[in-house]
Amino acid sequence: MVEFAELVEIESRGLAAAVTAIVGDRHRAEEIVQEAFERCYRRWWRVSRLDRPGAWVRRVAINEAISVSRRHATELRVMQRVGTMPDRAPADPLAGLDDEGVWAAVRALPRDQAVVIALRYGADLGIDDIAATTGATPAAVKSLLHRARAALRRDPALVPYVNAEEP
Amino acid sequence: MTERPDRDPSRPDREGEPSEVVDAASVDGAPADELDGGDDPVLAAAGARLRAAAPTVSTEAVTAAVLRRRSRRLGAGLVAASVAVVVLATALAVRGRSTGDDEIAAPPGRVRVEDIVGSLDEEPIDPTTVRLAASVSTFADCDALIDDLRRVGAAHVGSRGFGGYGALYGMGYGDFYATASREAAADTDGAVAAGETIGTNVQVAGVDELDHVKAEGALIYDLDRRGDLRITGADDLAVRSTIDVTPGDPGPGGDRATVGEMLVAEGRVVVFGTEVETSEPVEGDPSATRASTSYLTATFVDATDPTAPEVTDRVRIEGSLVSARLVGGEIRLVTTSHLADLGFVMPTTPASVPIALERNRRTVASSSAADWIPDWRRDGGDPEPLVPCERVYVPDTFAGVAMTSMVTFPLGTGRFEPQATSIVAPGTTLYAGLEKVAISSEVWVDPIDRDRLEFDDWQTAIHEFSFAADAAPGYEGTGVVDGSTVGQFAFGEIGDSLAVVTTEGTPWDQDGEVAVDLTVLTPDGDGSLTAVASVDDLAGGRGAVAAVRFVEGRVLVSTGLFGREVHVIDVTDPAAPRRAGSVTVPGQIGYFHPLPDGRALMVGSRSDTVGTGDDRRSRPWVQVHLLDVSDADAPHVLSTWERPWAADAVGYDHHAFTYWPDRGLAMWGVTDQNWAAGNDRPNHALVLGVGDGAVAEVAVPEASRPNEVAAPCPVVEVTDPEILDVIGRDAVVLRCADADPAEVEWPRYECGSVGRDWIDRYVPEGERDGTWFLCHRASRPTVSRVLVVAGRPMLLTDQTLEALDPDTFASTAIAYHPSPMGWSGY
Repeated sequence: MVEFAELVEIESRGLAAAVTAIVGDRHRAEEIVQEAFERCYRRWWRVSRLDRPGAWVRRVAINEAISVSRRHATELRVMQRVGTMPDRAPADPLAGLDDEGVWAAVRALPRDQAVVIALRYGADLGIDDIAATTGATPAAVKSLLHRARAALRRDPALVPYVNAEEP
Repeated sequence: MTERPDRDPSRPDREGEPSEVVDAASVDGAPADELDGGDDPVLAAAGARLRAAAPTVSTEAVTAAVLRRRSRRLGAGLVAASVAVVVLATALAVRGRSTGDDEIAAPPGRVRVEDIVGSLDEEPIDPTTVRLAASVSTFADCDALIDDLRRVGAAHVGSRGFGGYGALYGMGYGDFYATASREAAADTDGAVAAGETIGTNVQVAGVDELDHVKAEGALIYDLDRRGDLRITGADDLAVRSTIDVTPGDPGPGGDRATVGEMLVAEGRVVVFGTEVETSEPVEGDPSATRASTSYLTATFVDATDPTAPEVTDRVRIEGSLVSARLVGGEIRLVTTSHLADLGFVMPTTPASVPIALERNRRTVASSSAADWIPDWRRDGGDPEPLVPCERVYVPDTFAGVAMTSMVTFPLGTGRFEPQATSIVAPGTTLYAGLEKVAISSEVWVDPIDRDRLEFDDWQTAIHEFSFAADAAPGYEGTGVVDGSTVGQFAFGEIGDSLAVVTTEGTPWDQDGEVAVDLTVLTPDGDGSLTAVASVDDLAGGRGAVAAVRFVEGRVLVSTGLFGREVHVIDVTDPAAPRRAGSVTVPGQIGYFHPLPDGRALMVGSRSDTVGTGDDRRSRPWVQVHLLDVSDADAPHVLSTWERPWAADAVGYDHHAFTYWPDRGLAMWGVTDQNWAAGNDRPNHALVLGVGDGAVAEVAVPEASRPNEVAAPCPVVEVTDPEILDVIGRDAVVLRCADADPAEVEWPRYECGSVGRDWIDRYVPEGERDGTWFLCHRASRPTVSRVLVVAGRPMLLTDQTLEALDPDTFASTAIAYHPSPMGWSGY
């Protein structure tokens, strides 16, 4: 059975990165991850006997991150970036963005796609771990990842505008 | 480096440069799951930098924070939190009715609003201090009702409104596609089945519960998760008909309509779903936002001719579904609605908190009865109140800002013809027996506040209802018990009274070292339920209920650390229930199923650890015990059966379990958990004999893959390594003719369409015609239900419907029957 300290060490950095990717604010992400671990600690007698305690704490944090990012959806609308269009890099248009631009484009994706991207690349998780965290099947995770990557490459700099116009 | 317990240890560590990762999995022929898109170098590099810069959380900080909260709780008690923007969450739904309904009170004058707002304290009422009601009032008319609601509502509203919309967001912790089933199927329209048909597993025989699949006669009704009701013959597994049951035109801003659960009787079907409407933000005020409003939808289908079903009515009802039952052809539906549509504002900076609070208070103080009373509306029709003002019961203390309605209507007419009674309280759980029906309430607390607020004596209110032919549901009274419940199975009947098993503390934070009580409640004829008997602290302070079941003459409760203690309460004398014996089992119990002869089946799990060092892994087991409680004082386990590397859903979704009484068989699906042994391992169903004093394995049938068929469109070979990096090496690209449908179904694969711009980027000009799809190998089918239809056992999975031989349980026929259980809710 995994020790609590071990779980914190294993999960916290990747999870903080994934939550940062979703909420776009490092300090808020730190709070969310800290709170998720506090909840985990308070019911450790239960969580510790789960097959995947890591998936439990990730789910708590990602849920909260989604909830926070939804509450800030209005802000997102007014925060539309007036960035310069990247030069049409023929190989990969995403490469034309700085990191901040990449994550802003990720946040503008539909919520489920943003979450799988955050878990895959932010938390560096495999398909099975993402599936265990989100409750989706591995095949659904793969399909979401594929769709998300394709959407990001459609025109990443424009994504925030496109999605901001949808209710 | 420490081991990652829930990660496949064979998976290469990815902390290094992504480009160094070797496609090991595809070399040995296994699907390259882990590498699918893993080599997206831009995202991988951005992710690595994000991790390097990510804030860290230390164990010390976490434990210190938890201790700090505990000591605050022990010391200062309820000294009001200084900063807290306390949100009493739960809310009352409702949209303004357009025009003059004479019954509905007009908005109050300005003086009245000032009067209400001026009389309020500086802070909203703290949910930790809210006491649930023990008595209720009704009002003669809408004017009197709304006057009361304005005052109490304004005192409770916070700077973010009533907060009930929080429930719409995020992922649930339980099953995303949980739901239920039916009992005692009647033969459909003279179509006599060749063998028996067993409805899905319910709490009380004769009271059918909601599920996404129902069997009646020789037919299977299920929801395919794309908004369709599908009717399938059990004899040939052929789909007789498919009909769209999503709500009609959702109107402006309406989106995300889904259907999830249904009830069926004699070919008449009602399908319940959800529709979410997101309001536009207030114009010119970027800091204000309006919450989403959630509607319950009900679609009625006449499927008496299974080859030509017809939608006979569609309605949407303000609020959300608590639950519904079908008893003798009548639907008993419970909804809870929230006042989200009043147009509350939310502060985005600390300075705007008092301004938002003031504004929200004014909104409530000037609300009209139409804002509070839930509406329902037929497709294209005008909204109508679900309940008249005089049948709204208001507790003497405000338990929460929500309106919970008990609604009844006949299923057979095919039209929504509701009769309702409402109570101003949140609705959490519905218990429905043949005689007793109750709704429980808790003070609703926004999840984000759950760990910030401390509740010293959490309580659950129980509202009992009665039913009579051709009359609205009758309200019998409300009782209050200490603690929280584990849901519908915590309720039952002892003698002629309702009884409930509670755990001390809040539902989301049971600490395992608390009291567990049984309370028997009887209406006093004066609007209250009084405790007439109880068994207190039945687990000796080492409680926290994991599962409960009321069986003949006994109540079974599994409690304690790891849920391993099973306590027996003897209720053979209803006036004097008593704590009898207990038994310890080596795992946790998630579900009890009553069996004849004083026995019960206990379905649970345990886990152990295998391997050492980097190979150390937790190994889950599904565990089943046959318990003999014929002597309440000496319960004992007669037999135990278990299976390693397996997990099931029965503990939180009792509809996943099927009992075949004539054969003494217990059946349910299990998923393979041995990820390290490869991710292409099949899942199974368990078929266990539970008669004869022992649990014996009869069969463990595998959920087969659907039969392989050729690709529905020409396969395009992809060799460009750059494209393969993006789409994954096991992906198959299909190019269909333009006339083909927008979706492709291909057994054993999951396909999604490829965007035009993406085609333009990667496909040479002149070869871009057609609709392109990207397909990945589907994972193995997972058994969601084991059905017995016309004497034939069958497995319903996310991809297939598979018939089994009734004796050997070997596969006899299989049909591709997809119900993609994707990640819904967005």
